[in-house]
Amino acid sequence: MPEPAIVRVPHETVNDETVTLQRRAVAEGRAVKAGEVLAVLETSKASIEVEAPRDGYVFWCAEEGADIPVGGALCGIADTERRPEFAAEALKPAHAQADSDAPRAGGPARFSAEARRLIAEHGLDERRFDGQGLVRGADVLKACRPAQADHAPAAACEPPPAFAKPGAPARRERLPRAKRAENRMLRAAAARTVPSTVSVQVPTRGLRASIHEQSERYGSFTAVAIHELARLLREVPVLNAYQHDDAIHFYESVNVAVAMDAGKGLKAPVIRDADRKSLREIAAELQAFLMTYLRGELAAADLEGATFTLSDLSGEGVQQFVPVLNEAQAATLGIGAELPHGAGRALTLTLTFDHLLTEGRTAAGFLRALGKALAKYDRDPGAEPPRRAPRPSPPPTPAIPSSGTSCAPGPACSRPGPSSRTPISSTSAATRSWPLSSSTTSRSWPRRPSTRWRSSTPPRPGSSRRCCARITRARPPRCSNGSGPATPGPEPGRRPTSRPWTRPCSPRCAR
Amino acid sequence: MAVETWNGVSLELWAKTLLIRETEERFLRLFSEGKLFGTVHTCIGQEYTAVAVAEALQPGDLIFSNHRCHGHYLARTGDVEGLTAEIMGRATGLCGGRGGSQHLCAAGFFSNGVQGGIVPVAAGLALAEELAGTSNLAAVFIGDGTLGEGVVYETLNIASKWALPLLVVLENNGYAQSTSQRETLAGELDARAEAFGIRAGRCELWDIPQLLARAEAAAAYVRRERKPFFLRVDTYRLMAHSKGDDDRDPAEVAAYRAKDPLGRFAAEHPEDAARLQREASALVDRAVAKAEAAPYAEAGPHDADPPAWRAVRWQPTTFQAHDRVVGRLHDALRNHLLQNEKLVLLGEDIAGPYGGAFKVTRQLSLEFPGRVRNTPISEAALVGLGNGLALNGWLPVCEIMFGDFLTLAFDQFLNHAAKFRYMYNEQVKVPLVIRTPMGGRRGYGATHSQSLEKHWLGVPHTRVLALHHRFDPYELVDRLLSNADRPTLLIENKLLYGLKTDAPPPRGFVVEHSDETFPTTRLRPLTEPDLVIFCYGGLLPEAEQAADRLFEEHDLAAEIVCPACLYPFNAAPLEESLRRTGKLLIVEEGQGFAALGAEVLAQLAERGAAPARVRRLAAPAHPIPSSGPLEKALLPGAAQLVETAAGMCADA
Repeated sequence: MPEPAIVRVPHETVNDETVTLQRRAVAEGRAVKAGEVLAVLETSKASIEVEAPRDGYVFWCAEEGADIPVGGALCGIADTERRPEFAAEALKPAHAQADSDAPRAGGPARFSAEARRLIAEHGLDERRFDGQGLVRGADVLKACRPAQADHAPAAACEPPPAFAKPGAPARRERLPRAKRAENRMLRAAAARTVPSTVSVQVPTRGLRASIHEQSERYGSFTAVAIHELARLLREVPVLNAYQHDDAIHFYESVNVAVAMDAGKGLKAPVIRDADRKSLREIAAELQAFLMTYLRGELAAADLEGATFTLSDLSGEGVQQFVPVLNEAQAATLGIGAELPHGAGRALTLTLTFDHLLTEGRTAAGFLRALGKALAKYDRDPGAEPPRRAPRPSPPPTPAIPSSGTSCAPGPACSRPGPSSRTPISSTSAATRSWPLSSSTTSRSWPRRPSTRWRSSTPPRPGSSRRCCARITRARPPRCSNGSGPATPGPEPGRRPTSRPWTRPCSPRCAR
Repeated sequence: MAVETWNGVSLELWAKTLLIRETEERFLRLFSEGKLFGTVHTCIGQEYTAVAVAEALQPGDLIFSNHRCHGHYLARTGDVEGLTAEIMGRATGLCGGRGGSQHLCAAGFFSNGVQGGIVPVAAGLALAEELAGTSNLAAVFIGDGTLGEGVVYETLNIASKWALPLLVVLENNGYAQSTSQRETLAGELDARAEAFGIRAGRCELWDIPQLLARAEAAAAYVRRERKPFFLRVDTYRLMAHSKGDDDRDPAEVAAYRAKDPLGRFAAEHPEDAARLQREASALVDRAVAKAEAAPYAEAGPHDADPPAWRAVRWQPTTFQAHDRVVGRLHDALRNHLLQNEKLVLLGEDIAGPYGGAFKVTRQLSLEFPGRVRNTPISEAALVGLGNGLALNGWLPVCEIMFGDFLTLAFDQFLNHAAKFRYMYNEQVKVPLVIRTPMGGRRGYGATHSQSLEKHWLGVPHTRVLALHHRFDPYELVDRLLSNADRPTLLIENKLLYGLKTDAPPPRGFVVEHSDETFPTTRLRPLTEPDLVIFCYGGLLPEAEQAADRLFEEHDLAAEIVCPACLYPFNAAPLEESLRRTGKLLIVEEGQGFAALGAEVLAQLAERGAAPARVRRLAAPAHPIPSSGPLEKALLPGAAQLVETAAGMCADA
């Protein structure tokens, strides 16, 4: 009897090492025609369908709900109705052999889970361990130490303190696959960025209602927001970029990921070239994405390539929240609800941005300009949406306290690799001149990436709180090893070593 | 006046018989004088059987005798001096004083004091002659007491089925030590052989011409027909079984003494008898005098296996053949069958097309007819046949279908194979190879899943190997068959058969092997190890899995040390690894009590190399269950290794 054709988990669409067999579309032993859907796989991003490569009878190698390595066997397609004997060898991931070669001298090392975690945490580059064979957590921490010597405080890179177990009993439940994947990317982003957050309160008269009433014309509030912010991003390219290797990489296009969560998991489909599309086009595309999302059919391709992320929670009654930066993005925008404010109403725009790329002043300017652009849609006789977005200008806007109501959902789980977006130019951060942050900003003590923003954190001694926009450093800078591309080096002349954030700021990692 | 013959028998034969009598009587006196070591079993009264059979044999024939072997030896060789010196513990003894009364060996003559087991060994000698196409036969002497041993019947069955030139001489003296045959044996004695289709003949000691004629006819039949023959000689032992353990009725003994042929000869020809006795006595006197003048046996430099401890050098292990373990074994056996025409495979169900329960031998029987043989379900006999083949210069490879059944052949391994070389004073080698699968995880239950190798460890002058997939089984078997110098047990874990020998190791680990003939394999992590896992055979894949997981999940680098040679065991490679970590996790699939792990720890401790932290994992102290999940949960594997190793390192 000829060997059954083994159908394997495809490689191309996923970053995951394993996928979950969500559903068998064909029952055991049933006939199938080439091209028919065999199975639905759940990747960390989306569900993908696997088609039968040929006619035959399907015999499964994996149960529904099972995690299967990429390249691993899903099922076999045999020529007869009798279940074939699967050779153990055939069931191994097809690429196992090549991947399992011992790391050769100078070749990539193999990392333990702990090592990977620490590498992400400390923003190291895996390549620096090339040729080291096996790399454990201790090896990563050891690699941190030489960098320490160059920087005053010596507390850096201590092994993380043991997780303090709360006294109360707890039930352990593994995070869902999608959440785990998302977390990996959020951690990666957190490891490579210095997030800061600025909020601006935009006075309105009934902006959302106004747009809703003219939905034939404007689509939805989210569509309007995308339309306006995308065009504004062309004016503030530093927010449509990412930092790597002490250089800023400007994205060529403006691809806005829109966070969606309507009970089918948090997904962020990407509106491509949003700056070049009409509001109508954006609204239509957004609507289409929403329907696809609700059907659970968003494809991996729909979720890739974002250069900026929008989390619009204005319809959720959330006053304000701090969105979390995504990997390889300079900024992410959160829109809170339009709530009564004084005589009228107000909407809070919050921008989390990478402080390695720009400063609060730029962010605040961007938000104010966006507020101004949105105001054109507000209830005011003759409010016509402008044909062109106004240039950002910094009209003074009262600072708003951002305490108490923060909510920081991870807005997106897309992870555009740099290869999928060609930067239009790269310039060394050390030589490029940006609007510098003014002394009017204040920084709070840093906190862990996932904790909520707390207004009660003590201000740094000597710092001023008189600011038009409150800026929060969302996370301490991680340990520098001096060579990792994700590690910001001090910018000569612009970031004196006496900058507050270079002081010991975390028991785990501070410089 | 001297006679030429008496009773139709030449005086030369009477002289031989008298020499046996005189020698043994002297042994009894020497024993009383405290000049012998151990005891002696005399054949006083039975001598003429030995003489008659010796007369019937030809120079190339082979003899296997038992504990009562002096007469057989002297009748065949006349070597009073060698025998006397041997029994007196002298270096000039025929086995250098190592063998003693029951363990003689000289030019085609062997004896061993264990009942029953010599019969298949003799059959193996006969098989070797048959395979070589000679006209020689093998004769084996047994007593009626030996008929209580099952292996006798296993062998009669095979000898008949395979038409082996084996002459079985039953000296029926009516007693097993002190127990009368009437108490212990049922049925007809001859019928036992006839039931297997073996021709049987009967004669009695007291009719010498008939005895001579029947012995001659029996040997001629075996030689001519190439078939076994069962010659029953009714006889009587006039002295005790050994020394002072005679509870027989004195009247019965006296009656037989009156019938003693030598007594009757002496009565009728006192002068001839006296002359022959003087001559015999002079020979014995001289033998005793020579022996007494000779030095006692001394320990030789090569008596004991040399200390196994030896530092090793390592080299990377490369895999070339893309095949499974079972295929590599097959190829190695086939290659040696092609190269070495003295290689014989014996086993149950090993012939093609079935080719063995685990398909190692596949079609080899079709390619090498006569040299790859199916045996009946007779583990003791088939290993005994192997022993005989090995003694006779062949290279037998015996397959025991399940390691659990190896217990049935333990006597052949321990009391025969392991002893021959030494107790025969290096006159022979026993290149016997026994292959057997051990191990569980197949749901075969308590009697088909065990890992019993610990019971075979520590038998001097033997070797126990455990193959695994990280050192090419072809290479291992090739080395074994090229260096077959001692009985070797090769353990083949059932689950290993299907593994590929060229599967890459876990990423970040390199496979190395030592420069030992049967090397130690090391799975070395490409970083400083945190602990050492010691395992062998079928647990290597589990240990590898554990090392892989320990690194990924627990941030721990484990170095695996896996010897191919469990005995004699060289702990030096393990000690080398331990120097870097001080933590040792030993895993064995069999029972851990007094097993290899315990021995390893004892050796390390003796050398001051005891690890700072140590744990042993082994099967729980009860039989192996059949239910798959239960069995899997109980037998030590990757999961337990990971848990234990992580625990050892966590609170270190």
